[in-house]
Amino acid sequence: MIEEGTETHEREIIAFTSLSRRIHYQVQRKCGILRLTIMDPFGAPPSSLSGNQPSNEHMMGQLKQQLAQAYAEEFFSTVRDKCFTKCVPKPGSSLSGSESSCITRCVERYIEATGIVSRAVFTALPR
Amino acid sequence: MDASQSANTAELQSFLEQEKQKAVLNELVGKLTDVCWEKCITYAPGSKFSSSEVSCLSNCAQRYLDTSTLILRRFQNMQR
Repeated sequence: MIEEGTETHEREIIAFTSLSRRIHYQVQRKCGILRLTIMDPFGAPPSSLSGNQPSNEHMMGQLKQQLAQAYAEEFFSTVRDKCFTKCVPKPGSSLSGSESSCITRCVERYIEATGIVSRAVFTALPR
Repeated sequence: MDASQSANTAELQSFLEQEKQKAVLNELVGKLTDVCWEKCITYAPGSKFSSSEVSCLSNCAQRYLDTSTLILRRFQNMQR
């Protein structure tokens, strides 16, 4: 019973992770945790599973948190690449003042650009 | 599976479905920002975007989607 349910969730989650390679690992790991919590809530013996099952809210909250972190990590890594390329074309012995302020502006502009693109996408998408 | 369990599963599945849609959009916006940033922001970014940079980003994103639709249609025609 419970295992069947767990497998369904797992399949869903795996299909879901194929969407983004970079967040694949995090969600895969999450899936393992999810499975563990369903199979073995609070380390209780299998016979008392149904009584102690973690609530959906708990699992959804955890998954959301994990995803938010994965998105943030991905965003950070992109912005770092973009701004390093733009602002530090010839790396010197230390980061200069003008390079630092370029990086600050670059991060702000990248966030702004994400907003502009996001609005453009939402206008273009058929609703 | 008893009733409460299958209700739980249904709830989780619809939650995952929603998160899946969000992930698709998130991925799309991320990809488009990446591509259009390269195309539109040619100098080191200033303290404010110029209006031409803003319209370039917006046009770039929408034309990218048009391109995607066009190519998909072309592929569909090829399959027939």
